[in-house]
Amino acid sequence: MTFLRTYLLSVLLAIAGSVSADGQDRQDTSAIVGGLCSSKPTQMNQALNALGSFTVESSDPLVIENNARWALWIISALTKKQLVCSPTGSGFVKGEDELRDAVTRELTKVDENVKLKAPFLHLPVRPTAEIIAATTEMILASVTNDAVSDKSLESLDKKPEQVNSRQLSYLLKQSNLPGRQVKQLELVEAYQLLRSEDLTDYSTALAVLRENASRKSLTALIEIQSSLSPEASGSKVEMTSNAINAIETELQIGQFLSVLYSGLSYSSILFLAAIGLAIVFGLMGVINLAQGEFIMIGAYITFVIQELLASFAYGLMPFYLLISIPFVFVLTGGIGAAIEYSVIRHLYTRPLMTLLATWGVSIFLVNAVRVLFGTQNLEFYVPHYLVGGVTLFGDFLVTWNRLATIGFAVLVLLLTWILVNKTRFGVNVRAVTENRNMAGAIGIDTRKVDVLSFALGSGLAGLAGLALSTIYNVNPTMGTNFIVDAFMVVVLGGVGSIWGTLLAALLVGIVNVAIEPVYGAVAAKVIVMTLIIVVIQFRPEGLFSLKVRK
Amino acid sequence: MFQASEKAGILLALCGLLLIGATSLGFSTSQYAMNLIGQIAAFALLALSLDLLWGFCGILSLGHGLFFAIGGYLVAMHLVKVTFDATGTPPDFMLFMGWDSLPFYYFQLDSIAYLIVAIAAVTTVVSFVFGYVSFRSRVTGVYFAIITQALVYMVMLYMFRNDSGFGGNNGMTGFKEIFGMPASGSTTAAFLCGGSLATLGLCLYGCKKLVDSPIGQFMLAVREDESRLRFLGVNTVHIKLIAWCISAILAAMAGFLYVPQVGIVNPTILSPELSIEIAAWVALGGRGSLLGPILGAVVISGLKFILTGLAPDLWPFILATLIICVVIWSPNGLADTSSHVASFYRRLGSLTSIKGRSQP
Repeated sequence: MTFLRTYLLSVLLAIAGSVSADGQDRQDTSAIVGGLCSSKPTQMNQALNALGSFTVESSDPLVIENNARWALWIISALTKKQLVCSPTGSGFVKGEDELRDAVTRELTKVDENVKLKAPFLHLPVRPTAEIIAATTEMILASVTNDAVSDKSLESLDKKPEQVNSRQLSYLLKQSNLPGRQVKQLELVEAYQLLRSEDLTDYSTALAVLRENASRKSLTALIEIQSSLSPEASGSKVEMTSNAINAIETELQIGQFLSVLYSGLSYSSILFLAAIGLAIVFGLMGVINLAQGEFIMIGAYITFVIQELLASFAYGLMPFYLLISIPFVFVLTGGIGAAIEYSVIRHLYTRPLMTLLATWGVSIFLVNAVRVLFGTQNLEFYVPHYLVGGVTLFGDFLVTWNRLATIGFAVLVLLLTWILVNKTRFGVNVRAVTENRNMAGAIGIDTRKVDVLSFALGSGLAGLAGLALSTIYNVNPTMGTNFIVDAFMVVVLGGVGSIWGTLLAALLVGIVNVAIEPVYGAVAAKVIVMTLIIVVIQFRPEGLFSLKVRK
Repeated sequence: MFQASEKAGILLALCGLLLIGATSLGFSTSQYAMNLIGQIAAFALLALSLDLLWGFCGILSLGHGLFFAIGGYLVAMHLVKVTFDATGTPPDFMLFMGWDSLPFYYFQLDSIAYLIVAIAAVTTVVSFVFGYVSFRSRVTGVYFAIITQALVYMVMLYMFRNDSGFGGNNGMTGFKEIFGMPASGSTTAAFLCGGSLATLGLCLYGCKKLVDSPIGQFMLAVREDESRLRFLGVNTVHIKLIAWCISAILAAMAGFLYVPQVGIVNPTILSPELSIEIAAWVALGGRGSLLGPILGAVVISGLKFILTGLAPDLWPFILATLIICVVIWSPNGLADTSSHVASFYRRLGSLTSIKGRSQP
């Protein structure tokens, strides 16, 4: 507190020097304070705007700095209700047990009979105050060569038309701003230039808005279009409607891309869940109804590792997803192998019974997790490098977490492909898939291949659970949401084929995501179902069926 | 003479008729017990329907809940319409959607004869169309099971919608009168229970006759070796379609009997879980025997009634363990138990005889 006081005092002295040097300034500032004290929304807004212009009146950086500091001081006092006014319209700022003159910042005393009242901050005044404060902060930062915070830029973005134009043009002239921020400022300027009568200004504004197409710029332009009077020059009308069309097209493309994108990320998870099913189905003719539960277990193992890291190695927390990968794969794979060894191996000749047995396993797993963890959704910590994203096209936002999921699935796809096509284990798997007896006769341990592939399939499903943990809800019954789609993928894609599974996962995933928001989940399922029924009319074993001996 | 399942069928039918007769003469019974027995009888009929398909024709459907729901939803629509006409209080979903009258597909549903025709027609059409496209393209085994599961899941999602006119996720309930009787009361429960038992018995008898008939023999042949039958010049699609449609109608009848007894229908009867549970009853009871699945349904749903009250957390574990154990060690379900016991005795016997020989 003492530090603050000495600091304020030194600033005060500096201001006192500069302000008193110029009588004009003193007049301006008291008019501004008077406007703020008026307690009327329009006058207060005008005063705030005047305050904004006042900060950039001088060209001397030192004066600008002082004025900006003063403006920030006044605005913060106003929003904190520390600015109090006398009935005559002079303002004071209340400190802890002191009173300062709002114009000179000097300690003063007021007669006790004078009633001091804080001006009421009306709803329309608040955003103006916020925006003027933000621009003033930016000006202060640019004068003192500090970095301009993104937060103040964001608040400008909310109501660009209220930004003080003189402050804005001052900021745009500064050379020490990074290019990204200049772009944002130009966008703000464009919103202001839309009001301009000058045609060149107007067309520059339109060009900038077209470059930064968004839902917001479209709304602003449509508003302008409807306000254009019929007598307005034809070129203006035409330019506006051209710009609107261009932005609309871009937005549509952006929307299409974002549907495609979230479809891709859903497909990635479906692929991870279904590839194991497809391999095991091709190998043993067994469909594992507990595959969805392996997804769930993968997500829960990730959660446990996150919690362990949080309590024992907090520094590693941001990397818990990466750390979890081997654990999830090995543990879910191990559970899968245990289930194969204890239950499924007894049932190879009776695939339909395996459906029931694995259903029993799935009930068991769901309820075990429910008893251990409860039914609520788990909360996952999203590491900072997965938060947010980048806007590419129109409204199309590439979020990092979905991108990571897609990348992860591609990686797993490559590894699986290498495993199946380039390793001895893969040769064995393919041999047993094509002809189990013959494979056994030439010395392949078919039992080992069975256990290992089942473990592989379960491990991959577990990885799907890891990949979706930061995107979807994680609870004990989450498996059922994915399992029906995963089956569809296997039936559509065909048995034991990686490419078939990939293609089917893409189809099912994108159809689901594209149809669901518009026509509902049912329509999406109906379309996928119809697709499957049509496909099996011509290719009963799925899109890519291997020729195998039965 | 009659075989075991025929005897059981006739016995059940007689029991049901006796119950109806006694009740109409004024014999009073416990409403709870009647309700319980009636519901289990409906489940047993459902199990029988899947057994006819899976046990005798080798086709596993994991979507039999669909036909159960067709019967159940249509009878619920009938009850809703009757209640609405009689009392004028609109069902919840109409209030919710702000409708003044029931949607057009409730047309004429207040007549019981029309209701029965509608159930038969809808079930036959749905099962025929789906069965034809699947069987024609030779979708079999696990593929067929998965597709039927997807089908029932899809319909469940549709029924969860509130604008469908079928009650949405709350379902349909609040019936005031059931087939001209007051909705609650021991007499109604006894009548419904008797009806269910009698229907179950008749269906069991009919199924026995069916599987003994030439069609039934063809069904068995399809189960054993479909390709060989096809090579012999038999159109297996027709046989499978017949089995599939009959089974669907039996399931719809089960739904028709079940819903008035529980007094509510909602989309959970379409959940894939219920459909798999039906398969579990059949597998536990023993597919390929007509009495086994009925036994399986009675045992499991009876246990469920008791245990979900006593130990709700424990029941899923018991069910899972039961299924896994039976599937692994007793491929033909509980119907195998007698042969297990017999082989145990045989082994015991041979053991003692060896002992006897070694000591001359």
